[in-house]
Amino acid sequence: MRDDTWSSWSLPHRFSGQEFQSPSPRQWLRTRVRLISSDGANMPTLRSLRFVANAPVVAAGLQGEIFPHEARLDSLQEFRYTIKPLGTSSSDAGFDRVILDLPGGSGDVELVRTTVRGVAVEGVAQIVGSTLVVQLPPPVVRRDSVELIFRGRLAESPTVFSAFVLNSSQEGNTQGVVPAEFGADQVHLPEAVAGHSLVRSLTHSAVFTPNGDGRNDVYQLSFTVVKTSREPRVLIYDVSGRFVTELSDQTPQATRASYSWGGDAEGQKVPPGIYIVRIEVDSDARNEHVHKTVNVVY
Amino acid sequence: MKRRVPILLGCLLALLCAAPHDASAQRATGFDNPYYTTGTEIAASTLVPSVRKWYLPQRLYEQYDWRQEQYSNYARDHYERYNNVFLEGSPFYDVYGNYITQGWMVFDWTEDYPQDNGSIITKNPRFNSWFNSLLISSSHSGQFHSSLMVGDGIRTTLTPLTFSKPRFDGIQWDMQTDKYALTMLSSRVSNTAEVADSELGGGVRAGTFTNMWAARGQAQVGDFARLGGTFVNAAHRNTDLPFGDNSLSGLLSGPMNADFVRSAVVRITDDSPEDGEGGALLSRWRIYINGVEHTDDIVPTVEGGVRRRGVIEASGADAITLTYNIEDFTPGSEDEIDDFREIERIEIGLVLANDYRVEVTSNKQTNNLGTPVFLPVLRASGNVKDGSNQAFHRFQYGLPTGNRMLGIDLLIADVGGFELRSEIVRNFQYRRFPNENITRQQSLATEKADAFYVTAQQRHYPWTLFAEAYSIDPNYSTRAFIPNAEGEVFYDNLTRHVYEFVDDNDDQDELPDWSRLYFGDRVNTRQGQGLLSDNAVFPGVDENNDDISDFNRNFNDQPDYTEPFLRFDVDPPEFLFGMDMNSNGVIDRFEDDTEADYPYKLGRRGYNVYGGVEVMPNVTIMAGRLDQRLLKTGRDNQSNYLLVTAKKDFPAYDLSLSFIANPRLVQDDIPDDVLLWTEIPGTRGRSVFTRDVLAARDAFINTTYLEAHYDRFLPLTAKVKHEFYNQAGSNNELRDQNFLGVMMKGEYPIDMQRWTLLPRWKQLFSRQLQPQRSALKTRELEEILSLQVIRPVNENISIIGGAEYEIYNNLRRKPDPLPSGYLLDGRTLVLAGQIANRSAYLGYDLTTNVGARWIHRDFDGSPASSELLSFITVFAGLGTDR
Repeated sequence: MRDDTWSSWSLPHRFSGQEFQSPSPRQWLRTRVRLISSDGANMPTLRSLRFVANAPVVAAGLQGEIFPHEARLDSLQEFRYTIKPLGTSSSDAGFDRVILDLPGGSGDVELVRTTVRGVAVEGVAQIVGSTLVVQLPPPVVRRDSVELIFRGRLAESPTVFSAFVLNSSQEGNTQGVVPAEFGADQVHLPEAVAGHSLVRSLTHSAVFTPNGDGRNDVYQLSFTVVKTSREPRVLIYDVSGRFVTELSDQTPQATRASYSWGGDAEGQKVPPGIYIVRIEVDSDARNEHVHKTVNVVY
Repeated sequence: MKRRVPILLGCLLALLCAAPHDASAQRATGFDNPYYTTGTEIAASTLVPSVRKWYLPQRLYEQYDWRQEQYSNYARDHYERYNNVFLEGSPFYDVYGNYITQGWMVFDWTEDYPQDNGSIITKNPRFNSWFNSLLISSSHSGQFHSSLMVGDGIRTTLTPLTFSKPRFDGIQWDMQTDKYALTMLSSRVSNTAEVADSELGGGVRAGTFTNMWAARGQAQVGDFARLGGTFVNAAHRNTDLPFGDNSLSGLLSGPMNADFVRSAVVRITDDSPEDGEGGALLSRWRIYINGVEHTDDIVPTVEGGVRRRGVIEASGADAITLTYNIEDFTPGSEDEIDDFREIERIEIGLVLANDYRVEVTSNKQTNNLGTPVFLPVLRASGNVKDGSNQAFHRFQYGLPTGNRMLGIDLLIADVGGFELRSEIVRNFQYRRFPNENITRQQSLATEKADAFYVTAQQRHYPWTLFAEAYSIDPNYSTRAFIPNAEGEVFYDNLTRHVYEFVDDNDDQDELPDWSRLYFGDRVNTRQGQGLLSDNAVFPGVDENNDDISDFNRNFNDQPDYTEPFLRFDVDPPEFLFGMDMNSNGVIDRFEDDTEADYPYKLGRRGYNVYGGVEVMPNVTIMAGRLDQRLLKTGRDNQSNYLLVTAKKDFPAYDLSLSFIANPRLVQDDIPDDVLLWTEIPGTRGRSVFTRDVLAARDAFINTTYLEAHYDRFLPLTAKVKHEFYNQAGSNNELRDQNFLGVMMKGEYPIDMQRWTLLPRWKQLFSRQLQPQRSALKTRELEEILSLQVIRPVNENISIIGGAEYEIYNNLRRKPDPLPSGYLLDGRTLVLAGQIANRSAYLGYDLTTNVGARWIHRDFDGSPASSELLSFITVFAGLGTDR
């Protein structure tokens, strides 16, 4: 029974009528009851246990699959997430909203189009936190397959996409979409897995002129860190090895780390010359240090 | 053409002139022998143009004057029975037909390719009865020496990393000159053949077998360096195939290659299950048949592990298994085969991360019950927990067929006080894919592993500098699988199906410490005959090098420090001092494990350096640092240490003092488990596998030892050992441990006319606090008083009576209730009586001991118990010790 459709144990339910605490509502639930008594003479008794649950929007359940299952590292690529109801029932409320979890390692996501039963519809997409929420036009979907075609960059292998559906008339009644099989919700990045280097796709401007003329005033550095979630450090040194400054990530939530430097250190412009950019990524497997040189010209 | 005729005639004439005449050829052997064969010739006596040939040359006529048609009447001339003409053995001829000798073939090993069961080793009973299973054929000429040995138990070492066995069963050919040395080894290790039961016992045949070949050459470079190269190779062979179809990498044949791989199972586990985190992560799997991906048709059944976020995790004792049904193979457009029975190569691809260990098995890789046996193929480097080692690994499935070591070594001796010893070895482990339709050139997979060490020392009195660096890959192996007589290999049976190039022999005696095929059961040892393993392993305690353990002089599998009377001479190891570089609480030289005896332990890399100075005679100070780590799990041992040794004799007072102090700062989380002699209550004690509790994960340790011998009036010895571990880190599991041991003993022999009295006294005090919080604190005192009375009756007979009284006091306050393991006070009384007679008999010095020993134990809280041992023992000595 241990697979990824099961969450870990929820926080304890401490009083009757408490809202369901499990983080991911599913078809099945397992309950563990711990009977505790502070009075050694009396043994607690469990007389009944009742769960009140909303009817799922599609009672037979929903299966999901993403395609393709392989993608290039850090490359803007189109994906298709397909949701299929596993059966139909006239009592199903149906759904008109799809929530796609955007996992860590995915970025620049935008919806391209939405189809219901293969027919393009006008879905309204919105990025909410780390989710892509797509509002489908009426009528609610009960038995048709829904496809979300979206574009994004991936940097983590495998990247797992989870989806939920809900009926906007029953806010809070979210139903999970189960992957059709193990791996159906995954996108693998062979490029990310291959090789030992943790820092990939590095781009930077080798020369910049921080003279305030509005042209090439800022040094730009971006790269992708793979295989680890450890935060990289970017440090600037001069050619004699003296520490100059440390840069901070401009887009900490994105797949690509981006840094910029206006040539300042301790509130002053640095003298012209060659500077060394040192990128440090420390992980259990290896501590990687990448060095680049940048010319500051006035 | 015309030119060639005279040339050919000339050659023929030269050959005729050069070819020895029968007689001269016979003389060339140096013997006048009747067995020189001439082949069939045209004898004049046979040239009779009659229908019936009444006479043909025959041996019976020559010896007895018997003819075939002759009437046999023995009235006058009595019958002479047939003589056994082979009383002096049979004549033998070499491969050229040259007569060798008349005698017996004692040992013979032939391999005939291609031939059914073409490998034959013959050991005539005389091999053992005449030569005690050792033949040495030697020669020397000038500085050149050669020695070819055939033996069942030869002490053979090529290098410590490649080949070292206390009992090598095979052939060793050594050659040596002043500057060069060469050794070649050869053995059919899967079946070195028993000595035949009788003269008629034939050779031991094998068709599918494993041969081991090894060679080592070394050259002296100048007068200070020695450079060596070593090659060791063990591989499966088959004589049904032509010689050229066999391979140094081995091949699969017989039952190993019967049938097909129908199912394969890949098992992924956590390589550091004890840490409970960062388990193996599997995110993708692929299978390739003959290089073509077949992931979609050969879909594995995936079991075990916990699935989360796109990966399956196996943590702790959990395991992920991928079970492939190879029969599901469906040929595609890229395939060149149509059926799984034609598969030549299977490769598995896995995307793995963290601390993984991958093992694989198949229906062809089983034990004797047919249960699949997993063999390792991949292990993660380091104990990665953040997924940063994620990678795609592709490996080829196969059964082990061979193992090879290639190494070079360099020794530099005393160049201005500088010495260096080093060796580097590459290990190749071969696997081939089984398929009964493919009998030769099966697909080969090779796994490589490296090992090296270098030690260097510079002496410049009073200074000494020493450094050692080493690395042995975790998958380095000096082990080869060997088939049984039927050609089967049961992969979990180490005793029968594994041959070791380097044996476990911690006590460095004549027997390996583990049980393996073919050793010890054919050659006498001091410890007895017929031993399959060394049943008394007490390493590091043969300091007088008499090949008898100083802890077990009577070879009774029990250390002497636990035996009545003997325990006076022998002190328990915890009262002694020794270096404990791996901080497992056991003195290194007393450690007994179950691993091959490489100079450094498997899977470790590190260095150790120290500098020392003899500040005054017999007073030395050394300071050093040890830094080593486990290559696979990231555990390490860092230790900064100081060692002070001082010895001072005071002859005026007949006093000798030794002092040792060994403070060290240690961070060691590498487990060094050992076999430790343990006296379990109710038993006589045995070696028990004991886990390292890692008491020095972050600790300051100091060991101080003082030993005094005072012989002014009567011999008195005192030993004091104090050791403590101060836990420096925030490790709350362990507490500060300490040990204080005080041993004092004296003996006072008294001669009174014809009586000799030998009173002895020994006191052992120990106070111990073990690092585990659950372990009992102990404070114990043992007083052992003994008296032996020796009364010679005459010059042959003497009577020895003895009594020993042991008082055991547990000095700790008796807790209520009594915890498990708490020993109560007790007394042990031992009485022994013996009559010894020593006399000469048939040239031997015969000693007969008749007597009995009675032991009575009376411990509080337990019923008293007694043991009685009676004995009548006769020893036949050579009298050399008189």
